[in-house]
Amino acid sequence: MTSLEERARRVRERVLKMGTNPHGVHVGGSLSLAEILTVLYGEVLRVSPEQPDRPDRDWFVLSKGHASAALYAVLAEHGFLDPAELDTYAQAGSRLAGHPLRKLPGVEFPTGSLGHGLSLGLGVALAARRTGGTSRAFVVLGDGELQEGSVWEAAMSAGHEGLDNLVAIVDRNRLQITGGTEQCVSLEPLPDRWRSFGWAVAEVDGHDIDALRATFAAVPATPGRPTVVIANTVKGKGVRLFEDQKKSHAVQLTPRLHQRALASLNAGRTT
Amino acid sequence: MGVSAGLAATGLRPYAHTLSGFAAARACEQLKVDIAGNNLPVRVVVTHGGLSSGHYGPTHHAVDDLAILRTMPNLTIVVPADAAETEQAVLATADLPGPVLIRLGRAATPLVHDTVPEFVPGRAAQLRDGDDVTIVATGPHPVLMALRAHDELATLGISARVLNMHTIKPLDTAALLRAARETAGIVTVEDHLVVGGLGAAVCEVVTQDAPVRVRRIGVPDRFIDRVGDERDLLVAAGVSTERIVAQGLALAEAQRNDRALAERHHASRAGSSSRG
Repeated sequence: MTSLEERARRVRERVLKMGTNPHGVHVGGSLSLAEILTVLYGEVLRVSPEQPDRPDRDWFVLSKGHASAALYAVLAEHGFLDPAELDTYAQAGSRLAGHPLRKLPGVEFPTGSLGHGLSLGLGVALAARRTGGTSRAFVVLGDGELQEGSVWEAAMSAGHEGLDNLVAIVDRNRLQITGGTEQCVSLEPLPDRWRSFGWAVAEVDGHDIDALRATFAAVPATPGRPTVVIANTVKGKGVRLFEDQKKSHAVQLTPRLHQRALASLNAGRTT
Repeated sequence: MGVSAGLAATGLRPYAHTLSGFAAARACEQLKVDIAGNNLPVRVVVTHGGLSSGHYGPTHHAVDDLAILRTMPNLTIVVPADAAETEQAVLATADLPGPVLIRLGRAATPLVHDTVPEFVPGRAAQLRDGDDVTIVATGPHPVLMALRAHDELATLGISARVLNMHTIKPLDTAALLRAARETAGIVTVEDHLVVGGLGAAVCEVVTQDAPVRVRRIGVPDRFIDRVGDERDLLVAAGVSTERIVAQGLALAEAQRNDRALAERHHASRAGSSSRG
């Protein structure tokens, strides 16, 4: 059994490889998600590639759809996709678009137009409660995405409904395409804002696998309330030249840049 | 959009930018009610029009934007064909009293014009003369395709007029009615759905005042969930030089058939009257 650390490293390696296509990849926000997605798919989500549509599954929504490369890498890690297909990323005729398409196994909704995902998760969670189902909805949001007003409409509604089968995870890497989130439109005090909308808040180091594991194992953090996990992350995590850099939002990796990025990734290898 | 309307209401002339799909669909109501509804001088400059966001997928495609925007009174809608025309369009619309939307693509596209083009809002630019058929195109790839189709049709003995319909609203109805009266028919070409865009607008004009055959080339009425860059996706959707040529030929052929029929009809009438 491959360790979750090694899987997260492999997710990063595959994201970098996908970035070598002529259109590049949203590398920064994909790398920041490696541990979050690895832990969710490895230990938390009740999903299976053999029965992707079983009614009692958990639903995963990547609301920050531009990080599709990280999702594809994790889906490949877990048998939803053939890893060889990752080489087709963003190229003509591929199923792997820059933002996920619905027809891909394991993808519940096409996303990429920001601000839609939390409402989708809210709908799924409401349906499970209405029908007495055990499904849960996990929605990964970008922190820049929280500037979309629709996120807060869904947050208000979920808090009102007290949906404790809904979990939002904020990839709090503090950067968006145009710069720092606090410089663009500040989000802080972020935990207080979620709390005031009726949510239970858990803060965690989004690159600490054990901490993520413990946090997700404990949802709902408060019975009768939706949970938001604010995962403090580093944009471009794992590759020194991309870390905490605004310019790592979207990058086309030339062969030379790809080699440098891989070397940097593997220099930090712990296993 | 709402903020721009607020700025403009105080006398400023804001330029607002977002992706075309987001302006037309997400902020549709703010654009309609707050900007167009108040006839405020907001300039909305959108990128990623049509299929120009290619591999990003359908969340970022904007092939319905013109259909939505065309329904908004007061709004001037401009789709420049290249960088030179974009510059002229920005200058020429800067002092218009009402709202303006300029729709751009994403990646660089080849220049259509060798020299600085004249740009008059609301007046189609006739890029090629011709009196057999008319090609009406809007946007960078469609205009480039139309020019290539013109050359190919010329080698086949068909003289095609090419209109760059850079202003979708207000539409140059005079140029369209001349084309309808002077040529065998109109082929429209756009990086947009065949529903509600340039082709539909042309049909609305000619069916009323100068009925003529119109062949609409655009994106079919379905979501594009195929990955590819803009040109790949356009060609796969049926927007190509080859199709413009084929439709141009078909229109010329249809007119020849019409004339032959009319002549036979005329001859038989002449024959019957001589017998009577």
